[in-house]
Amino acid sequence: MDPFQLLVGGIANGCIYGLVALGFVLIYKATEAVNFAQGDLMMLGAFVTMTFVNQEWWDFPFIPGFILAMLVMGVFSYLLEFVIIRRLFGQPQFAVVILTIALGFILRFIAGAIWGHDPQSLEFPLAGESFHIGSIVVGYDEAFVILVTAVLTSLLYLFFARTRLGIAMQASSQNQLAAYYMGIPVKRISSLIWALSGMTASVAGVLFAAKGAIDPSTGLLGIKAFAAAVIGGFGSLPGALAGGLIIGIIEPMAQFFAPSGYSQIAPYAVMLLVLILRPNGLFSQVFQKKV
Amino acid sequence: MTKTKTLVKALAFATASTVATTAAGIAGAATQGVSDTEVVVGSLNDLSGPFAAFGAPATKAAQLYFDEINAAGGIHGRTIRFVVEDHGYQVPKAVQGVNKLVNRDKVFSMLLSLGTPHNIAAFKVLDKKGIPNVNPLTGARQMVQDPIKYKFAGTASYYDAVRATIGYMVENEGSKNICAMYIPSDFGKEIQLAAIDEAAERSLEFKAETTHKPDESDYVGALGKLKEAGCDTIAIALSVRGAITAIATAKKIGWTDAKFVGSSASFHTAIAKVPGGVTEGFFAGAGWQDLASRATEPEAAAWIKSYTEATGEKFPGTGALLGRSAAEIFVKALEAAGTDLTNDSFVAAMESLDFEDKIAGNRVSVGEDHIVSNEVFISKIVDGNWQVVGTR
Repeated sequence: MDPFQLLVGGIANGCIYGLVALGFVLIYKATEAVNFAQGDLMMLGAFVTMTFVNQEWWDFPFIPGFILAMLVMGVFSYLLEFVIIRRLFGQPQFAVVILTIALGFILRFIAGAIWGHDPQSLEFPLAGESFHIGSIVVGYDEAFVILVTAVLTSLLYLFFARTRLGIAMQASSQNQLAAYYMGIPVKRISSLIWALSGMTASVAGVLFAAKGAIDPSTGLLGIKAFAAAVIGGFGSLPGALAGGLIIGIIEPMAQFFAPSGYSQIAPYAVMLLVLILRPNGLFSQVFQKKV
Repeated sequence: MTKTKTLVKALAFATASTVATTAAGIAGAATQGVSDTEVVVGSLNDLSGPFAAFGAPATKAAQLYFDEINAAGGIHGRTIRFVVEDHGYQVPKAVQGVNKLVNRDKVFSMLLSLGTPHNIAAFKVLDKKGIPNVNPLTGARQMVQDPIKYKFAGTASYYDAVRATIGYMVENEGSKNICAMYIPSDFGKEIQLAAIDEAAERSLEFKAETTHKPDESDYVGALGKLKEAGCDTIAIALSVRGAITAIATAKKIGWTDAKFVGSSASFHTAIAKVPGGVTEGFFAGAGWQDLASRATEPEAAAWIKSYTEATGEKFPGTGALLGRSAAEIFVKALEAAGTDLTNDSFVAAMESLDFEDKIAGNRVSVGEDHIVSNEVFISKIVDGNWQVVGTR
């Protein structure tokens, strides 16, 4: 089998891990807490899109349905922060961690109650179709995943580098107190970061659903994305994407080249190796806070 | 010396008293989980993990049936209380769950517990108390392992069904090079072993295998490996979502002539209904028939109507079918056991069952092997529906 064939699938999966990892990092940078429900937001985004797009539900055209679901997930995540997470402002970080783990359970339960536990497929217009580049078969869904990830990360880059709000978010993530003294509405910024993170997760969910099927336990993929964020360096947005790509590529390579049974531990072995050799991740941004 | 003798006497007396009290207690005790007005039934299930596609609707359908029975006055004046513990397909949580069900809820019997390693782990608690385990949601042969007395497997085992299906593939579909993709648990190993044994019996080569985690989502490398090894028929033991993704991925990488064979764990409506015909041509061997093709039969139609009205779902899936079928078998056994319900009278009642199960489309005939229904139906996905292509 052509290794480039493995590479195509790996990059497409890696993009999905990378987008979920981006969500982890966005929230971590803004609030210094880890949102362990990030994978479940991805799952929820996929189900919301399915509801808008699938024929048996609302039957919207794919692109408007996709964008509408992103907006819904943005509002949902904003409210999640505003109504629940903000109550823990000033509490130890582990409180938010525990809360988000609980949120994950609740979201899985809600998804199961609304959409059932059977795996369901998103009616993706290009499902099952592919094109050839030499001997390599590229699914349109894989091309879609890679393209959307490239566009989204470029937009995120421009947003953080060029817009007032993006710069305010960066400032807030570097030092909340200093940002607050500079007149940045830190609490509102935190809600907006959650909204952005929810929208990114919903894009990842749609990309995941386009490649197969979804069920309420799909969100458990978040664990792998967490490993990706750790590999990239938990504070770095490009690192999160790179970490996702590394895991995405390693998985099929390990399945193909490693003996059966060992391939499953490959992503976590890489994470361990990175933590030993570069404890702050490959793209670490380490700052010392002086008191 | 005198002190020692006194201590020994005291200990001997205490031990004798304890033994006597315990023995008297057992002799006089009522059957656990059974009162004049109620029978408590437990289930260890996956309501939130990778096999929730089976567990959640199965327990829901069983509960709906028990609700109907209870509304009509129960069985011999006893209503059925169904207590379900979610293990999320994690064995440690299953062990916690069975301890809670047996020791706190005091269940009379287990019903529809999901997962091979989870049931095996639970046997350590159930066997000690002689608590029946009826129609577990797994087709592993260990479901009727020794001591067999209180164990009842719902259908033919994964092993028998997959062997029969691979045999069919060799005879009818030209399969020569058999391979396996499986979760390396007791569940997956049953299917792997079936593939190996059937290939050996037919003097075919078992070419290659790959192992996977229950929540795995990427199969490109594994499929590349199997394609490179020259596999033409692959027995799969993956989650429902995993099976869909694996079959879709094979087609995506251009491996369109690969034939996939699943067990009852893959014989699921959701797999047949994937849009775009992605799963067309997938085979599965199971102990029951798909419901869609029998939806107009009176008994099936009546249940479909009541289930869809109660749940708001469009059509009962495979999990619901199994739950409803097992619940009816359980109720029929309670009826046959009579008013004096004990573990032994229940076992005798189970062994006496012999009827056509109109929901599962198989014959229930429980013999000494404690397998509730021994038939195997080989089905194939054609035009988005499961179609029976062979039986054993």
